[in-house]
Amino acid sequence: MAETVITLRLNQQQLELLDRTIAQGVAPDRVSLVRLALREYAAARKADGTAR
Amino acid sequence: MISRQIISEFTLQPGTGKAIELLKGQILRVEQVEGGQCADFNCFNLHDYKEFMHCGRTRTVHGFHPTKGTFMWSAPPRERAMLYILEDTVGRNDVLFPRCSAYVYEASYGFAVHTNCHDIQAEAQREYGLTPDDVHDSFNLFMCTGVDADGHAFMTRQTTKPGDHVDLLALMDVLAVPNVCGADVMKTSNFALKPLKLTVFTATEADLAQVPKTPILASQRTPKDFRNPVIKTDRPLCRDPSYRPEFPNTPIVVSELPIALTAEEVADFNAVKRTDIYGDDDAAALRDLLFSWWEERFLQAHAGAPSIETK
Repeated sequence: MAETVITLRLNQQQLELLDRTIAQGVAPDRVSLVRLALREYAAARKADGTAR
Repeated sequence: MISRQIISEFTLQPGTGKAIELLKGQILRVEQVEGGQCADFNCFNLHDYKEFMHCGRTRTVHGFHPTKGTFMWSAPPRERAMLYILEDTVGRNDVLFPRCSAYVYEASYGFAVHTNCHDIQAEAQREYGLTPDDVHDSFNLFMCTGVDADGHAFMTRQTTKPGDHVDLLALMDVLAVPNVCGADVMKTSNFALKPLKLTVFTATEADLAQVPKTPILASQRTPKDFRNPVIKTDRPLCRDPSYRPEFPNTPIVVSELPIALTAEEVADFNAVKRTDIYGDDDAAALRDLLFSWWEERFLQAHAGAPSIETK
């Protein structure tokens, strides 16, 4: 499967927030959390018919 | 206690204000006598005047017109609920407008001297040793305001009647300072200055039971937490040669986090990414998406406002 890599640039505070979210069991790791965010964010906009 | 006990009553005459020691568990009622009168209001921690009510924080939490069921908050870094609005028979208060001042009446109306909320507050606060520089941004009771289409705040007339009142319950010992707004040539108080009645009650158990719990957080700092807890007593600002900056969480260090996306995920991303802001910078657009998602899913308060929910 073709993949596209986007490299996020995050500071230590932003990473801390991700890690605390992961610790709640939302996703197993940082990459999974970002991909979950993308899926949910896009799905929410598809559902309400807005691209932004 | 079943019924409220009256501790004191006072009539605030036009052109005046009154500093009142309002202890934790006491209620200050500010009441219309004739109707149509705005009251400006300042509030300080009675035991540490450097903690004072902050309209900026209050409007961020509760909007531009705080009313029954909201709090008056102190400024950062204290950020504590100082007062709870237990009752508001009108529901129209303001935290947009600053206090009126002598400058306004001189510059706009040509008065050499005119009643104004800043000077009235300063004179009332002088009873407790405060100076005109200590008067802070005003919580404006019964003031009818809004924001017009071009972003300017406006004020208009009010519809308050005799007996309308706001009850403020002290959640800490405070110096509460209401004043009769000095504006008689503006719509604020319907072009007249009228008295206001002040009553201090002891809250009942039922009153106290109405107050929602607010968080107690480490970030609500007091002088014992300050690197410099000493109140400066002289006026010039002089550099401290021993100063070494200790900004929190610095240096800010940026790390890279590669995210491999499937073709389907790329399609989803392309459908929602903010190219209008980030152009072809997909990394910035994905970072925006990530934290926008986080706000939508986890943030309890408006973005940028502190949550006041307790867990």
